[in-house]
Parts: sequence; structure tokens; C-alpha cells
Amino acid sequence: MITLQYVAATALSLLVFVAMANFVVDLYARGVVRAAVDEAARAGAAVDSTAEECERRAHDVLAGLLSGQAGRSISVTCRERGGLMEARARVALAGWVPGIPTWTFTLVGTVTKEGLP
Amino acid sequence: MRWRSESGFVATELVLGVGLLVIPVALVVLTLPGWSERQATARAVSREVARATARDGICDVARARVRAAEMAANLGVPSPDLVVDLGCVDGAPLPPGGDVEARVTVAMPAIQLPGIGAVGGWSWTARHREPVDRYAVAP
Repeated sequence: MITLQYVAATALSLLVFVAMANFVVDLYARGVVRAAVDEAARAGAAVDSTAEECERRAHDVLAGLLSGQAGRSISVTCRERGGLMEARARVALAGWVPGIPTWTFTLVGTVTKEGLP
Repeated sequence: MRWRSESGFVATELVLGVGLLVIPVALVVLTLPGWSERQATARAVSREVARATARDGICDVARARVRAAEMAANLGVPSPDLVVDLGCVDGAPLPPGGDVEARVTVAMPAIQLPGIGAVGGWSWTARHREPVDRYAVAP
């Protein structure tokens, strides 16, 4: 009987550790997205840059730092708004085990657009 | 001599051990990424505020604070946790060829438990100096 209890308790403990590891990796992913929108907005803020270049830069950063399923769950759009280049990332990070909800959030990076004197 | 029963409560002990020791320690450790996030946000805000001020050519502290609050909110840091200051006289034009410094001080919680709150803390300041275009006023 005690073996059964031990196996069940160990399995539950491992689930807890997987959930914690899931949370840590999600925090890393959020850091990557923050870096990506910041880089993208800066790339798109140059005087001769466009929203397409902003989006391309965001995808380059994400491809380098967060490839795989998590990277594919991120969509980045750029637009020019009121003298600013805005990069908006919508993120949906799925849980690793059933019972952990998908973490969805939006991060926005804005940089003042350069202008000709 | 009689031995006591060796049947125990391993499942209960293990679950209590995880619940009372491992999870609280893990939650405290999860404070560390928050420090890094806030420092990165302060750096990004100081860089952008200094850049925008240098581009505009006028020392506008109120505008810089609005811009910083918007950026902080967009990057997931509460706006009241950020204090922005410019190294110039408010309202004065910036001299071409000079520079402007933005200082952004962000509150760093010592321990932040997700869903519960923060305890203690200190502040951390990011500085960025941006040159003003030498030919900004040229026709």
C-alpha cells in the first residue's frame, strides 16, 4: 500500500515541478517578446523605414530567441501612429500539461519616428 | 521486543513537504525575473524619452512623463512605479550640438508573490544621454 502511495505522491509532485518549469519558461518567453517589440519599433522608427521592416525585425528576433511552438503562437503587427512606430505582439502560451491554462497577453513597443529636419 | 508498525504517511509527508517548503521557496525565486524586467523597462524608457526630447528640441518634462507612463504600461510595469526626470530646464529649448539626459527610477520589489503582492523593495535608476542634432535649427 505504501508503494502505491509513494508512486502517486511522486507523480503529483512531478506535476507541480512541471507546472513551475512551465511558468519559468513562460516568463522567459515574455522577456523575448518584450525585446522583440522594442527592437522592431526601433528598426521601424528610422526615417526611411516602414512597418514591413518593423515586422521583419520582430520576426528575426523571435526566430533567434524563441523558435518552435511557443514562437509560432506569437503574432506581431506594426503600424505608424501619431509620429510613433508601434509594434504590437499578441501572445498565447499554451500550458504543458492539462489543467494549466493558456497564458494570453499583449505587449506593445513604441518608438518616436525620426523625421527629416 | 515488539517493533512499532512501519506503515507511515509518506504520501502526506511528501505532499506537505512540497506544499509548505518547495512551493513557497519557488514563489520567492520567481521574484528574480521581475527585477530584470523592470530594469529592462527602465532602460528602454530612458532611451526613448531622451531620444524623443532630443528630437523635439525642447525640454518638456510633462510630455516625457506621459510618454514614459504609456511605455511602462505597454511593457507590463505599473506606471506609478516609474519616476522620470530630465537633465534640462523644463520648457527651455535644447542647444544644438548639446545633449539631454533622461533619468528613469523604477521601484524594485524585494519579494513579489504572484497574485498576492509585494513586500519591501528599493529603487533602481537608468540613465540615457542623447545628443541633440547639431543642425536641427538649420533651414
